[in-house]
Amino acid sequence: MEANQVIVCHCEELTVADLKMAFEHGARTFDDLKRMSRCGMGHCQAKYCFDAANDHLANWSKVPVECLPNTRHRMPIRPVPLKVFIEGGFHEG
Amino acid sequence: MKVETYDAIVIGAGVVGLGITYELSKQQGLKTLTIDQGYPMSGTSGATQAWIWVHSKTPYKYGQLSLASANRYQELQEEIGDIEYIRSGGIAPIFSKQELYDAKALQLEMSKANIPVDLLSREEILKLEPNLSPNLLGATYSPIDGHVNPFKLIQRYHLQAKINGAHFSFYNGVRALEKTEVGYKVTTNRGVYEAEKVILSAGLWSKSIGEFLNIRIPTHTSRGQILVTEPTEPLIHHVIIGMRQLSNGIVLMGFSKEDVGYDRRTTMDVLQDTAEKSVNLVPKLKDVKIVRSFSGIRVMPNDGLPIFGEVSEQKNLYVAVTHSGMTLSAILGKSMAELVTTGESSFPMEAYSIERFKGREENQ
Ligand SMILES: Cc1cc2nc3c(=O)[nH]c(=O)nc-3n(C[C@H](O)[C@H](O)[C@H](O)COP(=O)(O)OP(=O)(O)OC[C@H]3O[C@@H](n4cnc5c(N)ncnc54)[C@H](O)[C@@H]3O)c2cc1C
Ligand code: FES
Repeated sequence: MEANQVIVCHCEELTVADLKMAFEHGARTFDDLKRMSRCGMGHCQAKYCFDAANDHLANWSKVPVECLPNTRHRMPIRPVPLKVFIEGGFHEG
Repeated sequence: MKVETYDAIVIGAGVVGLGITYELSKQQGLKTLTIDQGYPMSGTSGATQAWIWVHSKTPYKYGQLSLASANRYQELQEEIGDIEYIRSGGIAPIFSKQELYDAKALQLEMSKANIPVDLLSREEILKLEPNLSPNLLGATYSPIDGHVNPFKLIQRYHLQAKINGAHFSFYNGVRALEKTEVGYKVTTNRGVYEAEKVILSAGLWSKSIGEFLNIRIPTHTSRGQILVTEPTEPLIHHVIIGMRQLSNGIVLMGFSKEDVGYDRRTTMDVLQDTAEKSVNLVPKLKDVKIVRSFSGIRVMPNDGLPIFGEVSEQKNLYVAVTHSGMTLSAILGKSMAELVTTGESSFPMEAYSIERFKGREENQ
Protein backbone atom coordinates (compact mmCIF):
# COMPACT_ATOMS: atom_id res chain seq x y z
CA MET A 1 0.00 0.00 0.00
CA GLU A 2 1.28 3.43 -0.81
CA ALA A 3 2.24 5.52 2.20
CA ASN A 4 -0.14 8.31 1.30
CA GLN A 5 -3.10 5.91 1.19
CA VAL A 6 -2.70 5.11 4.88
CA ILE A 7 -5.84 6.05 6.78
CA VAL A 8 -5.35 8.73 9.43
CA CYS A 9 -8.93 9.40 10.48
CA HIS A 10 -10.73 6.09 10.69
CA CYS A 11 -14.14 7.44 11.58
CA GLU A 12 -14.26 9.63 8.48
CA GLU A 13 -12.03 7.38 6.34
CA LEU A 14 -9.48 10.02 5.44
CA THR A 15 -6.06 9.15 4.12
CA VAL A 16 -2.73 10.95 4.37
CA ALA A 17 -3.33 12.09 0.77
CA ASP A 18 -6.69 13.64 1.72
CA LEU A 19 -5.07 15.62 4.52
CA LYS A 20 -2.11 16.59 2.33
CA MET A 21 -4.55 18.09 -0.13
CA ALA A 22 -6.13 20.22 2.62
CA PHE A 23 -2.62 21.28 3.67
CA GLU A 24 -1.82 22.30 0.12
CA HIS A 25 -4.90 24.51 0.11
CA GLY A 26 -3.57 26.35 3.13
CA ALA A 27 -4.78 24.39 6.17
CA ARG A 28 -2.22 24.77 8.97
CA THR A 29 -3.95 23.62 12.16
CA PHE A 30 -6.01 20.61 13.15
CA ASP A 31 -9.16 22.74 13.20
CA ASP A 32 -8.44 23.87 9.61
CA LEU A 33 -8.15 20.21 8.56
CA LYS A 34 -11.35 19.49 10.40
CA ARG A 35 -13.30 22.15 8.54
CA MET A 36 -11.78 21.27 5.21
CA SER A 37 -12.00 17.48 5.34
CA ARG A 38 -14.11 16.46 8.38
CA CYS A 39 -10.99 14.91 9.94
CA GLY A 40 -11.75 14.59 13.64
CA MET A 41 -15.50 15.03 13.31
CA GLY A 42 -16.37 11.34 13.44
CA HIS A 43 -17.77 9.25 16.22
CA CYS A 44 -14.61 9.30 18.33
CA GLN A 45 -14.35 13.10 18.00
CA ALA A 46 -10.65 13.14 17.15
CA LYS A 47 -9.57 10.98 20.07
CA TYR A 48 -7.95 8.58 17.65
CA CYS A 49 -6.71 10.79 14.80
CA PHE A 50 -5.64 14.01 16.53
CA ASP A 51 -2.02 13.07 17.24
CA ALA A 52 -1.40 11.39 13.91
CA ALA A 53 -2.89 14.26 11.92
CA ASN A 54 -0.89 16.79 13.92
CA ASP A 55 2.34 14.85 13.28
CA HIS A 56 1.70 15.12 9.56
CA LEU A 57 0.89 18.82 9.79
CA ALA A 58 4.05 19.47 11.80
CA ASN A 59 6.11 17.56 9.28
CA TRP A 60 4.68 19.32 6.22
CA SER A 61 4.77 22.82 7.66
CA LYS A 62 8.12 22.27 9.44
CA VAL A 63 6.69 23.56 12.69
CA PRO A 64 7.45 21.61 15.89
CA VAL A 65 4.36 19.63 16.84
CA GLU A 66 4.32 21.23 20.33
CA CYS A 67 3.80 24.61 18.68
CA LEU A 68 0.58 23.58 16.92
CA PRO A 69 -2.62 24.69 18.62
CA ASN A 70 -4.82 22.12 20.34
CA THR A 71 -8.28 21.44 19.03
CA ARG A 72 -11.19 22.72 21.07
CA HIS A 73 -12.86 19.98 23.07
CA ARG A 74 -16.51 20.53 23.79
CA MET A 75 -19.35 18.91 25.63
CA PRO A 76 -20.23 16.08 25.81
CA ILE A 77 -17.07 14.05 26.50
CA ARG A 78 -18.89 10.84 25.71
CA PRO A 79 -22.05 10.58 23.54
CA VAL A 80 -25.22 10.85 25.65
CA PRO A 81 -28.89 10.76 24.64
CA LEU A 82 -30.71 14.09 24.49
CA LYS A 83 -32.99 13.14 27.38
CA VAL A 84 -29.97 12.98 29.70
CA PHE A 85 -29.14 16.55 28.73
CA ILE A 86 -32.48 17.98 29.67
CA GLU A 87 -32.46 19.65 33.03
CA GLY A 88 -34.30 17.70 35.72
CA GLY A 89 -34.32 14.63 33.50
CA PHE A 90 -36.81 13.64 30.88
CA HIS A 91 -40.31 12.69 31.98
CA GLU A 92 -42.28 10.26 29.87
CA GLY A 93 -45.81 11.24 28.91
CA MET B 1 9.61 46.59 2.37
CA LYS B 2 8.33 45.64 -1.07
CA VAL B 3 4.78 46.77 -1.75
CA GLU B 4 2.54 44.48 -3.78
CA THR B 5 -0.09 46.15 -5.94
CA TYR B 6 -3.52 44.84 -6.90
CA ASP B 7 -6.66 46.21 -8.53
CA ALA B 8 -8.80 45.12 -5.61
CA ILE B 9 -8.20 43.67 -2.17
CA VAL B 10 -10.85 41.70 -0.31
CA ILE B 11 -10.40 41.66 3.47
CA GLY B 12 -11.89 38.52 5.04
CA ALA B 13 -12.26 35.08 3.46
CA GLY B 14 -15.47 33.85 5.05
CA VAL B 15 -18.38 32.86 2.87
CA VAL B 16 -19.15 36.50 2.07
CA GLY B 17 -15.58 37.48 1.13
CA LEU B 18 -15.08 34.29 -0.89
CA GLY B 19 -18.38 34.74 -2.74
CA ILE B 20 -17.18 38.21 -3.74
CA THR B 21 -13.70 36.92 -4.62
CA TYR B 22 -15.14 34.21 -6.83
CA GLU B 23 -17.35 36.63 -8.76
CA LEU B 24 -14.48 39.12 -9.14
CA SER B 25 -12.22 36.34 -10.42
CA LYS B 26 -14.46 35.98 -13.45
CA GLN B 27 -13.42 39.47 -14.61
CA GLN B 28 -10.61 39.11 -17.12
CA GLY B 29 -7.52 41.06 -16.20
CA LEU B 30 -8.64 42.14 -12.73
CA LYS B 31 -5.89 41.38 -10.24
CA THR B 32 -7.28 40.63 -6.80
CA LEU B 33 -5.92 39.58 -3.43
CA THR B 34 -8.02 38.10 -0.66
CA ILE B 35 -6.52 38.31 2.82
CA ASP B 36 -7.57 36.47 5.97
CA GLN B 37 -6.08 36.53 9.45
CA GLY B 38 -6.87 32.83 9.69
CA TYR B 39 -8.12 30.21 7.33
CA PRO B 40 -11.40 30.44 5.34
CA MET B 41 -13.59 28.72 7.88
CA SER B 42 -12.04 30.07 11.06
CA GLY B 43 -14.69 32.79 11.42
CA THR B 44 -18.45 32.45 11.61
CA SER B 45 -18.64 30.56 8.32
CA GLY B 46 -17.09 27.49 9.97
CA ALA B 47 -19.75 27.30 12.70
CA THR B 48 -23.07 27.60 10.98
CA GLN B 49 -26.29 25.71 10.26
CA ALA B 50 -26.10 26.71 6.57
CA TRP B 51 -29.76 26.93 5.75
CA ILE B 52 -30.54 28.84 2.61
CA TRP B 53 -33.60 30.29 4.21
CA VAL B 54 -36.11 32.62 2.58
CA HIS B 55 -39.64 32.33 3.80
CA SER B 56 -39.58 34.33 7.01
CA LYS B 57 -37.19 37.07 5.85
CA THR B 58 -39.23 40.23 6.38
CA PRO B 59 -39.81 42.91 5.13
CA TYR B 60 -40.72 41.42 1.76
CA LYS B 61 -37.88 43.24 0.00
CA TYR B 62 -35.42 41.43 2.19
CA GLY B 63 -37.30 38.26 1.26
CA GLN B 64 -36.73 39.14 -2.39
CA LEU B 65 -33.01 39.53 -1.79
CA SER B 66 -32.88 36.14 -0.07
CA LEU B 67 -34.86 34.59 -2.91
CA ALA B 68 -32.51 36.09 -5.52
CA SER B 69 -29.62 34.51 -3.64
CA ALA B 70 -31.35 31.13 -3.44
CA ASN B 71 -31.91 31.28 -7.19
CA ARG B 72 -28.29 32.19 -7.76
CA TYR B 73 -27.22 29.07 -5.81
CA GLN B 74 -28.95 26.95 -8.43
CA GLU B 75 -26.72 28.51 -11.07
CA LEU B 76 -23.64 28.25 -8.87
CA GLN B 77 -24.25 24.56 -8.40
CA GLU B 78 -23.61 24.30 -12.17
CA GLU B 79 -20.80 26.87 -12.31
CA ILE B 80 -18.53 25.88 -9.44
CA GLY B 81 -19.47 22.25 -8.83
CA ASP B 82 -21.53 20.37 -6.30
CA ILE B 83 -22.13 22.48 -3.22
CA GLU B 84 -24.98 20.20 -2.10
CA TYR B 85 -27.55 22.93 -2.42
CA ILE B 86 -30.89 21.24 -1.82
CA ARG B 87 -34.32 22.83 -1.75
CA SER B 88 -35.77 20.61 0.91
CA GLY B 89 -38.52 23.05 1.80
CA GLY B 90 -38.64 24.85 5.13
CA ILE B 91 -41.01 24.65 8.07
CA ALA B 92 -41.59 27.17 10.85
CA PRO B 93 -43.60 25.45 13.59
CA ILE B 94 -46.46 27.24 15.31
CA PHE B 95 -47.12 26.49 18.97
CA SER B 96 -49.37 29.37 20.06
CA LYS B 97 -52.33 31.49 18.93
CA GLN B 98 -50.07 34.54 18.73
CA GLU B 99 -47.70 32.71 16.39
CA LEU B 100 -50.69 31.80 14.26
CA TYR B 101 -51.62 35.48 13.82
CA ASP B 102 -47.99 36.29 13.04
CA ALA B 103 -47.97 33.53 10.43
CA LYS B 104 -50.95 35.06 8.66
CA ALA B 105 -49.22 38.44 8.58
CA LEU B 106 -46.08 36.76 7.26
CA GLN B 107 -48.00 35.06 4.49
CA LEU B 108 -49.43 38.39 3.38
CA GLU B 109 -46.07 40.15 3.52
CA MET B 110 -44.32 37.44 1.50
CA SER B 111 -47.03 37.38 -1.14
CA LYS B 112 -45.79 40.86 -2.14
CA ALA B 113 -42.51 39.21 -3.16
CA ASN B 114 -44.21 36.20 -4.77
CA ILE B 115 -42.67 33.95 -2.16
CA PRO B 116 -45.00 31.02 -1.56
CA VAL B 117 -45.81 30.53 2.13
CA ASP B 118 -48.41 27.91 3.02
CA LEU B 119 -50.17 27.90 6.34
CA LEU B 120 -50.54 24.26 7.33
CA SER B 121 -52.85 22.75 9.92
CA ARG B 122 -51.62 20.23 12.47
CA GLU B 123 -52.84 17.35 10.31
CA GLU B 124 -51.15 18.72 7.22
CA ILE B 125 -47.85 19.34 8.91
CA LEU B 126 -47.84 15.91 10.54
CA LYS B 127 -48.44 14.38 7.16
CA LEU B 128 -45.40 16.21 5.83
CA GLU B 129 -43.25 15.47 8.87
CA PRO B 130 -44.75 12.58 10.89
CA ASN B 131 -42.09 12.80 13.61
CA LEU B 132 -43.02 16.32 14.65
CA SER B 133 -44.79 16.75 17.96
CA PRO B 134 -48.59 16.48 17.88
CA ASN B 135 -48.61 19.49 20.25
CA LEU B 136 -48.05 21.82 17.31
CA LEU B 137 -50.94 24.03 16.26
CA GLY B 138 -49.64 24.13 12.72
CA ALA B 139 -46.75 25.55 10.72
CA THR B 140 -45.79 27.76 7.84
CA TYR B 141 -44.15 25.97 4.95
CA SER B 142 -42.31 27.11 1.85
CA PRO B 143 -40.77 24.93 -0.87
CA ILE B 144 -38.11 27.61 -1.54
CA ASP B 145 -36.10 27.02 1.63
CA GLY B 146 -33.19 24.65 1.70
CA HIS B 147 -29.60 24.17 2.73
CA VAL B 148 -26.08 23.98 1.42
CA ASN B 149 -22.95 22.17 2.55
CA PRO B 150 -20.99 25.15 3.95
CA PHE B 151 -17.63 23.38 3.76
CA LYS B 152 -18.14 22.48 0.10
CA LEU B 153 -19.46 25.92 -0.78
CA ILE B 154 -16.41 27.59 0.71
CA GLN B 155 -13.97 25.15 -0.85
CA ARG B 156 -15.58 25.56 -4.27
CA TYR B 157 -15.56 29.34 -4.14
CA HIS B 158 -11.93 29.24 -3.07
CA LEU B 159 -10.73 26.66 -5.59
CA GLN B 160 -12.62 28.09 -8.54
CA ALA B 161 -11.40 31.62 -7.77
CA LYS B 162 -7.85 30.27 -7.53
CA ILE B 163 -8.20 28.55 -10.91
CA ASN B 164 -9.46 31.83 -12.35
CA GLY B 165 -6.33 33.57 -11.09
CA ALA B 166 -7.34 35.18 -7.78
CA HIS B 167 -4.54 35.57 -5.23
CA PHE B 168 -4.91 34.58 -1.58
CA SER B 169 -2.97 35.17 1.59
CA PHE B 170 -4.02 33.28 4.72
CA TYR B 171 -2.75 33.57 8.29
CA ASN B 172 -2.11 37.19 7.48
CA GLY B 173 -4.04 39.66 9.65
CA VAL B 174 -4.76 43.21 8.55
CA ARG B 175 -3.18 45.62 11.03
CA ALA B 176 -3.87 48.97 9.34
CA LEU B 177 -5.86 50.43 6.49
CA GLU B 178 -5.04 53.86 5.09
CA LYS B 179 -6.09 56.02 2.22
CA THR B 180 -3.48 56.85 -0.44
CA GLU B 181 -3.55 59.01 -3.54
CA VAL B 182 -4.55 56.16 -5.79
CA GLY B 183 -6.58 54.04 -3.40
CA TYR B 184 -5.76 52.21 -0.20
CA LYS B 185 -2.78 50.79 1.62
CA VAL B 186 -3.34 47.61 3.59
CA THR B 187 -0.71 46.73 6.16
CA THR B 188 -0.69 43.17 7.48
CA ASN B 189 1.63 41.26 9.75
CA ARG B 190 3.42 39.88 6.70
CA GLY B 191 3.56 42.81 4.31
CA VAL B 192 2.16 45.94 2.70
CA TYR B 193 -0.30 45.84 -0.17
CA GLU B 194 -1.86 48.59 -2.26
CA ALA B 195 -5.01 48.60 -4.33
CA GLU B 196 -7.34 51.04 -5.97
CA LYS B 197 -10.33 49.33 -4.39
CA VAL B 198 -10.86 47.59 -1.08
CA ILE B 199 -13.77 45.40 -0.09
CA LEU B 200 -14.31 44.91 3.60
CA SER B 201 -15.99 41.58 4.31
CA ALA B 202 -14.43 40.55 7.59
CA GLY B 203 -17.68 39.59 9.33
CA LEU B 204 -17.58 40.38 13.04
CA TRP B 205 -14.25 42.11 12.72
CA SER B 206 -15.29 44.54 9.99
CA LYS B 207 -16.35 47.04 12.62
CA SER B 208 -12.83 47.39 14.06
CA ILE B 209 -11.16 47.42 10.63
CA GLY B 210 -13.58 50.17 9.54
CA GLU B 211 -12.33 52.27 12.44
CA PHE B 212 -8.95 52.68 10.71
CA LEU B 213 -10.77 54.99 8.28
CA ASN B 214 -13.28 56.36 10.79
CA ILE B 215 -16.12 54.37 9.31
CA ARG B 216 -18.74 53.24 11.77
CA ILE B 217 -20.22 49.87 10.97
CA PRO B 218 -23.08 49.53 13.45
CA THR B 219 -23.17 45.83 14.35
CA HIS B 220 -23.41 43.71 17.45
CA THR B 221 -22.74 40.04 18.14
CA SER B 222 -25.06 37.11 18.69
CA ARG B 223 -23.77 33.73 19.81
CA GLY B 224 -25.48 30.58 18.62
CA GLN B 225 -24.86 27.21 20.25
CA ILE B 226 -25.50 24.02 18.35
CA LEU B 227 -25.92 20.40 19.42
CA VAL B 228 -24.87 17.65 17.02
CA THR B 229 -26.20 14.10 17.20
CA GLU B 230 -24.78 10.80 16.04
CA PRO B 231 -26.03 9.64 12.63
CA THR B 232 -29.54 8.33 13.13
CA GLU B 233 -32.57 7.11 11.14
CA PRO B 234 -34.20 9.74 8.93
CA LEU B 235 -36.34 11.76 11.35
CA ILE B 236 -37.02 14.99 9.49
CA HIS B 237 -36.95 15.78 5.79
CA HIS B 238 -37.17 19.57 5.71
CA VAL B 239 -35.32 22.39 7.37
CA ILE B 240 -37.37 23.06 10.47
CA ILE B 241 -36.70 26.28 12.36
CA GLY B 242 -33.98 25.26 14.80
CA MET B 243 -32.92 22.00 13.20
CA ARG B 244 -31.98 20.05 10.14
CA GLN B 245 -30.80 16.53 9.43
CA LEU B 246 -27.79 16.09 7.17
CA SER B 247 -27.66 13.45 4.46
CA ASN B 248 -25.39 11.31 6.68
CA GLY B 249 -28.10 11.16 9.35
CA ILE B 250 -26.61 13.70 11.76
CA VAL B 251 -29.08 16.20 13.26
CA LEU B 252 -27.96 19.79 13.99
CA MET B 253 -30.05 21.65 16.56
CA GLY B 254 -29.83 25.24 17.71
CA PHE B 255 -32.23 27.93 18.86
CA SER B 256 -30.06 30.26 20.91
CA LYS B 257 -29.10 33.90 20.45
CA GLU B 258 -26.93 35.57 23.08
CA ASP B 259 -25.06 38.84 22.88
CA VAL B 260 -21.85 37.83 24.65
CA GLY B 261 -19.25 39.55 22.49
CA TYR B 262 -16.56 37.33 21.00
CA ASP B 263 -16.91 34.53 23.56
CA ARG B 264 -17.15 31.28 21.59
CA ARG B 265 -17.61 28.89 24.52
CA THR B 266 -20.50 26.48 24.78
CA THR B 267 -22.46 26.54 28.03
CA MET B 268 -24.45 23.82 29.75
CA ASP B 269 -27.60 25.89 30.42
CA VAL B 270 -28.07 26.79 26.77
CA LEU B 271 -27.31 23.27 25.56
CA GLN B 272 -29.85 21.84 28.00
CA ASP B 273 -32.42 24.28 26.77
CA THR B 274 -31.56 23.37 23.18
CA ALA B 275 -32.04 19.67 23.96
CA GLU B 276 -35.40 20.39 25.57
CA LYS B 277 -36.68 22.48 22.68
CA SER B 278 -35.54 19.84 20.22
CA VAL B 279 -37.31 17.03 22.03
CA ASN B 280 -40.46 19.17 22.28
CA LEU B 281 -40.33 19.57 18.53
CA VAL B 282 -39.32 16.01 17.58
CA PRO B 283 -40.04 13.70 20.54
CA LYS B 284 -38.10 10.77 19.05
CA LEU B 285 -34.88 12.73 19.45
CA LYS B 286 -34.91 12.02 23.18
CA ASP B 287 -33.10 8.70 22.70
CA VAL B 288 -30.68 9.91 20.04
CA LYS B 289 -27.14 10.53 21.27
CA ILE B 290 -25.41 13.90 21.22
CA VAL B 291 -21.79 13.55 20.12
CA ARG B 292 -20.70 17.13 19.90
CA SER B 293 -21.60 20.77 20.43
CA PHE B 294 -20.24 23.94 18.90
CA SER B 295 -20.85 27.62 18.95
CA GLY B 296 -20.43 30.47 16.53
CA ILE B 297 -20.80 34.22 16.74
CA ARG B 298 -23.10 35.91 14.27
CA VAL B 299 -22.51 39.48 13.33
CA MET B 300 -25.78 41.40 13.45
CA PRO B 301 -26.22 44.76 11.78
CA ASN B 302 -28.12 46.86 14.32
CA ASP B 303 -31.26 47.07 12.21
CA GLY B 304 -31.05 43.44 11.13
CA LEU B 305 -30.49 44.12 7.44
CA PRO B 306 -27.31 43.61 5.39
CA ILE B 307 -24.82 46.47 5.14
CA PHE B 308 -23.66 46.54 1.57
CA GLY B 309 -22.08 48.85 -0.99
CA GLU B 310 -19.64 51.70 -1.43
CA VAL B 311 -19.00 54.05 1.46
CA SER B 312 -19.79 57.58 0.32
CA GLU B 313 -16.95 59.36 2.17
CA GLN B 314 -14.40 56.79 1.06
CA LYS B 315 -14.53 56.31 -2.65
CA ASN B 316 -13.66 52.80 -3.80
CA LEU B 317 -14.11 51.36 -0.34
CA TYR B 318 -16.92 48.81 -0.21
CA VAL B 319 -18.45 46.92 2.70
CA ALA B 320 -20.37 43.64 2.84
CA VAL B 321 -21.37 42.79 6.38
CA THR B 322 -24.44 40.74 7.16
CA HIS B 323 -26.03 38.04 9.19
CA SER B 324 -27.45 35.07 7.22
CA GLY B 325 -24.30 35.20 5.13
CA MET B 326 -24.78 31.61 3.98
CA THR B 327 -28.15 32.48 2.47
CA LEU B 328 -26.90 35.73 1.00
CA SER B 329 -23.33 35.09 -0.20
CA ALA B 330 -24.43 34.24 -3.75
CA ILE B 331 -26.32 37.48 -4.39
CA LEU B 332 -23.89 39.63 -2.40
CA GLY B 333 -20.96 38.22 -4.39
CA LYS B 334 -22.62 38.83 -7.71
CA SER B 335 -23.83 42.32 -6.80
CA MET B 336 -20.47 43.35 -5.37
CA ALA B 337 -18.57 42.25 -8.48
CA GLU B 338 -20.99 44.23 -10.63
CA LEU B 339 -20.76 47.26 -8.39
CA VAL B 340 -16.96 47.21 -8.25
CA THR B 341 -16.52 46.76 -11.99
CA THR B 342 -19.42 48.79 -13.45
CA GLY B 343 -20.66 51.04 -10.64
CA GLU B 344 -24.11 49.43 -10.63
CA SER B 345 -25.68 46.13 -9.62
CA SER B 346 -28.47 44.38 -11.49
CA PHE B 347 -30.36 43.61 -8.27
CA PRO B 348 -31.33 46.86 -6.48
CA MET B 349 -29.06 47.15 -3.44
CA GLU B 350 -29.48 50.85 -2.52
CA ALA B 351 -31.63 50.05 0.52
CA TYR B 352 -28.67 48.26 2.12
CA SER B 353 -26.23 51.15 1.93
CA ILE B 354 -24.36 52.01 5.13
CA GLU B 355 -25.55 55.58 4.59
CA ARG B 356 -28.92 54.64 6.09
CA PHE B 357 -27.43 54.74 9.57
CA LYS B 358 -26.48 58.41 9.32
CA GLY B 359 -28.03 60.33 12.16
CA ARG B 360 -29.68 57.22 13.55
CA GLU B 361 -29.43 56.34 17.18
CA GLU B 362 -27.90 52.90 16.53
CA ASN B 363 -24.90 54.68 15.17
CA GLN B 364 -23.94 56.19 18.52
C1 LIG C 1 -24.79 29.04 15.09
C2 LIG C 1 -24.97 29.78 13.80
C3 LIG C 1 -25.90 29.33 12.86
C4 LIG C 1 -26.06 30.02 11.66
N1 LIG C 1 -26.95 29.53 10.73
C5 LIG C 1 -27.08 30.16 9.54
C6 LIG C 1 -27.97 29.63 8.57
O1 LIG C 1 -28.58 28.59 8.77
N2 LIG C 1 -28.10 30.31 7.39
C7 LIG C 1 -27.41 31.46 7.13
O2 LIG C 1 -27.59 32.03 6.06
N3 LIG C 1 -26.56 31.97 8.05
C8 LIG C 1 -26.39 31.34 9.24
N4 LIG C 1 -25.53 31.86 10.17
C9 LIG C 1 -24.83 33.09 9.86
C10 LIG C 1 -23.69 32.84 8.87
O3 LIG C 1 -22.92 31.72 9.27
C11 LIG C 1 -22.82 34.08 8.81
O4 LIG C 1 -23.63 35.18 8.43
C12 LIG C 1 -21.68 33.95 7.80
O5 LIG C 1 -20.89 32.81 8.05
C13 LIG C 1 -20.85 35.20 7.83
O6 LIG C 1 -19.83 35.09 6.89
P1 LIG C 1 -18.75 36.22 6.78
O7 LIG C 1 -17.93 35.87 5.60
O8 LIG C 1 -19.39 37.55 6.80
O9 LIG C 1 -17.93 36.13 8.14
P2 LIG C 1 -16.77 35.14 8.61
O10 LIG C 1 -16.96 33.76 8.17
O11 LIG C 1 -16.61 35.37 10.07
O12 LIG C 1 -15.51 35.68 7.82
C14 LIG C 1 -14.79 36.82 8.19
C15 LIG C 1 -13.33 36.52 8.00
O13 LIG C 1 -12.58 37.70 8.24
C16 LIG C 1 -11.35 37.33 8.80
N5 LIG C 1 -10.75 38.47 9.49
C17 LIG C 1 -11.16 39.05 10.64
N6 LIG C 1 -10.35 40.04 11.01
C18 LIG C 1 -9.38 40.11 10.06
C19 LIG C 1 -8.24 40.93 9.88
N7 LIG C 1 -7.91 41.92 10.74
N8 LIG C 1 -7.45 40.70 8.80
C20 LIG C 1 -7.76 39.71 7.91
N9 LIG C 1 -8.84 38.91 8.04
C21 LIG C 1 -9.64 39.11 9.10
C22 LIG C 1 -11.71 36.18 9.72
O14 LIG C 1 -10.59 35.35 10.00
C23 LIG C 1 -12.81 35.46 8.95
O15 LIG C 1 -12.34 34.33 8.22
C24 LIG C 1 -25.33 31.19 11.39
C25 LIG C 1 -24.41 31.63 12.32
C26 LIG C 1 -24.21 30.95 13.52
C27 LIG C 1 -23.21 31.44 14.48
S1 FES D 1 -10.59 8.88 13.87
FE1 FES D 1 -10.93 10.88 13.27
S2 FES D 1 -12.80 11.35 14.25
FE2 FES D 1 -12.44 9.36 14.86
